[in-house]
Amino acid sequence: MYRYDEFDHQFVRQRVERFRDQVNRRLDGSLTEDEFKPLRLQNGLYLQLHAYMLRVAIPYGTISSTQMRRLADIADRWDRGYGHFTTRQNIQFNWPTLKAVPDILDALADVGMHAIQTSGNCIRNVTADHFAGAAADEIADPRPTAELLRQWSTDHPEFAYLPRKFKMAVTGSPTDRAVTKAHDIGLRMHRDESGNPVYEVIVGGGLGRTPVVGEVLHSALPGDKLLPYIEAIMRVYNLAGRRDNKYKARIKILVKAMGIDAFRHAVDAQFERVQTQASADAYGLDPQEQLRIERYFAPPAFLTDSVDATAIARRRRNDPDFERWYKNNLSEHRNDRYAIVTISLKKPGAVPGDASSAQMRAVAAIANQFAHDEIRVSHEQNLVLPHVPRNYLISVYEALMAEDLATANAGLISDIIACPGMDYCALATARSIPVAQDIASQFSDPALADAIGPLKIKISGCINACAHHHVGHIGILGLDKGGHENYQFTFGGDHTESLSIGERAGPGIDADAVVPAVQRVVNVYLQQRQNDQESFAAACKRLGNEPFKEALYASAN
Amino acid sequence: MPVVTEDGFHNDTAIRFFPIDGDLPKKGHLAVDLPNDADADSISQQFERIDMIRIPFPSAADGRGFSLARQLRQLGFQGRLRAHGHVISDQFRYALECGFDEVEISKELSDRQPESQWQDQRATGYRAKLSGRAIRREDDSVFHVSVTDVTHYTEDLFSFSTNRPDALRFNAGEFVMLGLEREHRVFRAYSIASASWSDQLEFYSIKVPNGALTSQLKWVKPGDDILIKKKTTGSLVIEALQPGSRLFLHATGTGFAPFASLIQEPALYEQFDQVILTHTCRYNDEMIYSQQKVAAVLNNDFIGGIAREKLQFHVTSTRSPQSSSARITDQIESGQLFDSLKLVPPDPESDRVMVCGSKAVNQDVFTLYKNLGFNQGSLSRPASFIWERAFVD
Repeated sequence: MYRYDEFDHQFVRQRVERFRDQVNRRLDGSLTEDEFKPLRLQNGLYLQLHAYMLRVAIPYGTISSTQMRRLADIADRWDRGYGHFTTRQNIQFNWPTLKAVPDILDALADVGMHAIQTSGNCIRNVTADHFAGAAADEIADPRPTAELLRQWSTDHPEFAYLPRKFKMAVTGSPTDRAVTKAHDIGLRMHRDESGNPVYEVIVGGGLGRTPVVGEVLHSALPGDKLLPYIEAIMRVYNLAGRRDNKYKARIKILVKAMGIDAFRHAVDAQFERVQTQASADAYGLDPQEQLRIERYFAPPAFLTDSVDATAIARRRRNDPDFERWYKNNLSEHRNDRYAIVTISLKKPGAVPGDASSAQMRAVAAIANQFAHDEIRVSHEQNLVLPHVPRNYLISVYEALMAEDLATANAGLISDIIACPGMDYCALATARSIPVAQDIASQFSDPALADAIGPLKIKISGCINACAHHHVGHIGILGLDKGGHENYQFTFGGDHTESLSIGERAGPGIDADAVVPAVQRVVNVYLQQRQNDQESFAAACKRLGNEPFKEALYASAN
Repeated sequence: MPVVTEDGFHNDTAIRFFPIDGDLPKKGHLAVDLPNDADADSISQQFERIDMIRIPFPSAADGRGFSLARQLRQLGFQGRLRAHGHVISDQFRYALECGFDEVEISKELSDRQPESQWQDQRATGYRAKLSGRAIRREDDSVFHVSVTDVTHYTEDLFSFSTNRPDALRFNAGEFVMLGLEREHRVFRAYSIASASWSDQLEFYSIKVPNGALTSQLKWVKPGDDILIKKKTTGSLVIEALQPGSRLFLHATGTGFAPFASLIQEPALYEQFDQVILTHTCRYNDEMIYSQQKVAAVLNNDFIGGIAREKLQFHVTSTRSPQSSSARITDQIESGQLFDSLKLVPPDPESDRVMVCGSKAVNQDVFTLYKNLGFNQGSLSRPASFIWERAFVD
């Protein structure tokens, strides 16, 4: 995985010192609150409902055991013993004091981490497929591209004051696990007819208050043109994006207003300009430097011992809990001696995405001992061990069990994505965590959850849609209605390569009606599905949303 | 109004700015005000007569002026560029990097953020790093490493190991410039023989008679200080070859060193089904190092399994009394090499070749392969054959 070199270390240290200085200059009046705010945000520091919140970047979700242990130390020393993994592969600490923040940033810098550009109107932490480098269906590893974009966009002089925040995601698999069509820029790596690596560039996707599916701007951009092309897109947006209304300032609004063809025309004009010689000299990409980045993501030296399949088969036969975990939480690895293990942070009743310092240390130890020292954070708010030798699966399972981390619900109804909601967030209009906890508890019976099969519930506590509720199979949006929390449902969303925005079912319902309503919707699915192979999403496509809407409002009669 | 340049604060000399869309004087040179939503193309026709362009920043959160400035520079504007309005000292380096020469700020802002806050803003950014400029600027800066181990094989051949600075990055097959702390620092290129993933650095060297560096390096002992320049480079990188099924690595003499590193690289075995390493030297005792290295790779916990499956090693000496082996060029030309290893002859469609040795051998081997249809590759244009061009003897 990417190893900080001298340059990165120096840069991050300098950045911490600069921020320390900015905090002091805010306190002595050199900076006004308005001037300080963007600087604070670009260093990951939010002012939340109750306190400051520090959002730490985990670029493309990849993290080592040393880094994970450091996050645990920070949680213990400066927070309340836990951290919250987010839908953008970051981790948030909810209770640091302003004074402690530069020290926390220093502690992060020690292990090659930072909070740079995790908020503010700039290019944010670049996300990627959490199975990158491990997935069986992968065409190309998206992480070198994500790291290249991270470096290129860090402290970019031209794009630090954009009209609004800007998010990019990269995938290298036909199965899109990075929700690329719901990002300001989504990149899908594939190969052209002659086998050369190219990018499909998708632009203007996004959820939030105006959900839009991104459109293809370029179907086969050659690999070596990526940076100039991205620069061209960013410039068109920086110049023409709306700055008069923050709700209409994202690139999706600009693309819609111009139309994709006119937008493409404007990008092409800038693309030509940024490739002039003078510009290329200053902003070009040294092939040796690019190679160095790619090399960091070389696969680990996979073990070549043959797999003891009988031991695993025996355990699967004799231990139903292991069997469930095996079926639900394992994914196919590109090396058949290996498996990808999802560690669910969604034990029914727990706060989705929260991990205690003890859990973080346990995962770090397991990764270190059994899984090539690598951990991923998924946008679904779970942790992933991307490279687990099959011979270690039983040991890994037992180690996870011992820490209560073997919840076997990955991808099931209780594996709910939820934003922090009104329990933490200043923007929220309703709570989302307790709703998620209640639903997960309702479906905590393993047999029932297995019978229901894959079902994504996503719950946002406000219209900004941090939990991506529009693309949940069942999306739930918490709003404030005359002082009461009120929850709107959407059905038919799809978060994959065939991304679609769910349809709003109708008026919202009260908080205490949510769990029974979900139960009725699920019952209708169980009654009407063709067979137990037909997933909720497939049934929705076949039946339309009507039966589910009826079930949702059935109690009103 | 105060104007800030890289040198500090200045008083604005009364320059008359004409609005670009107003009535411009027909003749003479101009200073103009350009709105931040202007079309950069529309004024490029007039660059000849414009000495100075001023772009407004209505608020510190409005970054349009940065994009406009960069476009003007990209279109070839060479005059002065001034940012005007709410640009705070924290943004000064952005303004400079985007092509501005100066920033005109209000009296209120200059009081609040005095001159001292506008200094030391220059920093080497990531774009400089990615384009290779940052590292070129650091060419003269070096790491100090400490010798941990020295082994002598013959009168002239020796290897030595040092600790590896955390920040020293290199690709297997690359070389660095080594030197000793003496009155006059002399640096020479040395291939790194250790794995890119190793905590140690290892080098394999021959004492060159009267060589400026090797004559001194030969006497290093554990604990001695060695200088390593920070920039590593080299032609022998896997990515300069097109994908293929067999990889031939031909080394002569100390040209074995880069291959000692490459054969420890997991990616090598991911990309090729078979790796055939040949080493030719003059006398038998010159083969000790390569034989030990290959044996160590085959027994390594980390890489041994795959290496045993795919790596073939063929070592010959040309001048030992009991040996009748030919030079590598003769072995290739006669086909003896392939016969003795039971290999089909090289095919430019599916085989790839790397060569490292003396300049003359490199050239001769290349000529042989060229006649078979092999082409020389580079990072920007991968092909079927690469050689290390950095060494002369």
